Formats: sequence, C-alpha cells, structure tokens
Amino acid sequence: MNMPLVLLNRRRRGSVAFNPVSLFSAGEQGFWLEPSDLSTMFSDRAGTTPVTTPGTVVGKRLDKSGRGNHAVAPTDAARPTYGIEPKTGRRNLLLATDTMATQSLTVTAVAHTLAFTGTGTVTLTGASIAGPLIGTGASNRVSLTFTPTAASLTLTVVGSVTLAQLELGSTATAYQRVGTAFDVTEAGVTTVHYVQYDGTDDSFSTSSIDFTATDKMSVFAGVRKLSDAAQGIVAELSAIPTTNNGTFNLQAPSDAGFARYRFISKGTVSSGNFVSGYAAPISNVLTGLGDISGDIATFRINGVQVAQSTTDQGTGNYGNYPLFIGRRNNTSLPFNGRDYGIIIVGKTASATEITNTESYLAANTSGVTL
Amino acid sequence: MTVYTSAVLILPAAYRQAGNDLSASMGWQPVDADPGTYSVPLMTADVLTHWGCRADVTQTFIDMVENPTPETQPLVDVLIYDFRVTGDPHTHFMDVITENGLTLMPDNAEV
Repeated sequence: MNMPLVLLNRRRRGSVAFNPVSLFSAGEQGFWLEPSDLSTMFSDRAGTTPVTTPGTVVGKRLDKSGRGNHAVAPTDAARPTYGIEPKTGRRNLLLATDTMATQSLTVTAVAHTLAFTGTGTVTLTGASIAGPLIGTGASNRVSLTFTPTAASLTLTVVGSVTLAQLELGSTATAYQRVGTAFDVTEAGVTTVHYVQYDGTDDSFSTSSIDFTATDKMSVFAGVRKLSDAAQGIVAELSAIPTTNNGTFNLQAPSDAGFARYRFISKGTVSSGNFVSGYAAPISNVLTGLGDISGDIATFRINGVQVAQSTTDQGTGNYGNYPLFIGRRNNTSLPFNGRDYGIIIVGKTASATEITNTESYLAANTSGVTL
Repeated sequence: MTVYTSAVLILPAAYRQAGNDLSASMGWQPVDADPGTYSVPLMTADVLTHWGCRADVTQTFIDMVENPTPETQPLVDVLIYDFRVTGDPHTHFMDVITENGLTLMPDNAEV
C-alpha cells in the first residue's frame, strides 16, 4: 500500500500552473479577457463568427471569469483588430517577407540591416542609395548595413528575394516572418496574441457589472502603449466616472504628450497617481489596486509598486456600471495600443495572486519580462 | 480568409444621422446607437463641422462606396473617404483629417 502514498506526495509537491479563473473562485464579480484563446473572440458583434486569423476585426470577446461579462464593440467601425507577434517583439520592418515584393516604408536616421536569401536583387532608393544587395543563392543569406536619412525608403525587388528582413541595428538577426502588420512570427520564439485599438474609435463595453458588494478592486492588464500623443482609456468602470461614484480606471497615457500611465480609484472622491518615464512605444504589465474605505490606490508596473496614493476616496462601494475598454463611454479618450489580456476582480488580490497574475500576463505580453 | 483594408470615412455634421441610419440599416450598428458609427467629432477652425470613423473594411464595402447605388449616392457625394493597407490606423486617420483641413475636437482633460 505504499505506492498510493508516494503518488499522493508527488502530487502535493508538484507545481500547478496558475489559472486566473482561480481569482474568482469565491464568487467574486469580475472580468477576464484573454486574446490568446480564440474560442472567446468573434469578428461579429453578435458573437457567431469566430476569429481565426491575425488581422481580423474583433466584435465580441467572451469573459473567461465565469461571470458572463462579455465585451462587445458598440458598432462595426469600432471593432479592434486581432494580431500576433513573437514574445520578444517585432524586429522585421518589412511586410510579406517570405517572398518579398517591392515596398516602401518610413525609416529613421539610424543604422539598418537588410538581409535575405535567394538569387534576386534589392535596390534602395529614397532615404538611402546603399547597395544594391545582390542575392547569391536560395540557401545563402546576404546582408547590407546602411544608415538612411529620416525619410521614405523604397526597396525595389527584382528576381527571387525570400526570407527578407529589414531591422534596426548593424547585425542581421534571426528571421521573423511578417505576413501583415498584424501577423508576425519567429521560429523558436513563443507567439503572443493581442487586440489592437486604433486610437481613433475602437472600443468594447460590457453590460453593467455589479460591484456593489465590494469596495476593493484589483485591475490587471498587459498592454502595449503605441503613442503618448493623446490621453487613452484602457479600462474604465462607468460611462461618466467624473460624476459617478464607485468607479476606477486605467489610463495609457494619462495626459496628452506625456510618457505616463495612471490608475484611479474613486468612492465619492478620486484618488490615484500618474507615473512617468514610460515613453511609447512600450509594453508593460499594469496593476491597479483600489480600496475605497482604506483610502489606498496602489499602482504597480511590471511587478513593482511604482505609486501609492492614500488620499481620501470618500465612501461607498464600487458601482453597478458597464465596463468600457479602449475608450471612455465608447466616445472619447481612445486608447492607441494593444491589450494582451485584461483581468479585473472585485477584491483585494493576495500578494501571491498579484504575483501570479502579473507573471501570467507578462508571459503573454510582448517584450515584458518580470 | 477575409482581407481587411483600413478605411477613414468622414461626413459633414449635417449628414451624420443619415450616415448612422445607413450604417444601422446594413447591420453595422444598433439602430439609434449613440454615438453610432460616425463617433469622432472633427473641427474646422474650432467649429464642429464633421464626424468621422476609422474602420477595417472588406473589398465589398470599398466597391459599395466606389460604385454607389442611387439610394446611397447622395451620401457618398458628401463622404470623404480613404482606403489604405496599413498597420498604423491612427496615422491613417490623422493623415486624412489633416489633408482635409480638419482637426480632432480636444477631449476634456478629465481624469
């Protein structure tokens, strides 16, 4: 009879992968959007046509928390776009790279390296006239390093140019396949999934989520902020948080023209800090922890506490409002960036839960390592 | 596989309701949705004059705009539109409004 005990002990010692659904195991209200789970994403707002390929618009996302707080775009025009890229981020600046065709792009005045295989030729015009780069065979990779002016660069292709890559720097690195801007992969590198908001009119909202039983909130998001030009809303509870009580929001950036994020929690009074030094484009895992009665609004970035406000948040619990993702009330403050996952739970997550959730999102967010 | 093209569509403010109604009739938004498809207020010299949207559209939609029916012709006549294959839709939108002398209505600096 010793064998079962051995097996039992092994089970006890074995690690179990963290599943964010455990955050909701005590019946907590909340919300979990996971772009890597294509079974939860639909291109139409009715939720009948699954998203299957990168570059597809996303009209509805199912909530994985188990609470049924699904997110729907307000109109077809407001649907964000599903994309994939390597966990290490995109380096290859070209498009349709498996078999390259002539193309132009805007470049900056820093060193670039062009590489490809094949027997064709790539001639540069515009921002640089270095080269041409002439292929030497289907199995040979040739490269050319040059520093263009800041302008439009045209790469004219003649013949067979395959596995083409143009990247910043003076070294030709491993090939990244780029189909479209939303479809980038690299052999041997984990692919991460995202939903991209256009910074113009893309957003989702849920039906009202009843958070009235709690004055504690934990908000987690893996994001890539693509621009600091205009204030953007990643997630916000209620249509008019400036007048509604019991709300929170996560902003990226918090102020037009500033390299900032902000988390705000509000009972009857707003409290929260912006944090500076996060210039777009940048990817981060953001965590906001709100406690209305405790008068605490904690902000963590990439697993580290970066701000904490103890300003009075007034009274009351969080409200029973729709949650908006990507814009305020589906009308203003459009977020120009990507989400790699958003998890919101109406409680104060434990230290272990915070660490696990941040690690989970970091694993799914391009360019973030905790 | 559906191929999408970035579309920027802009209507004079007086045609916004008609644009949203057409959008609703084609199932692209709920009827009487607020703000509806044309949800971005645009200004000419600090005056609200147009409403815009940026969307990913299919070739079918492009064909519909470029070959309007008699019913949609009046709206297309006043529609500013631009189609572009791009991974940077925000720049696309900003390029088109700038080319047409329009600016974004500033959002209130609220928290």
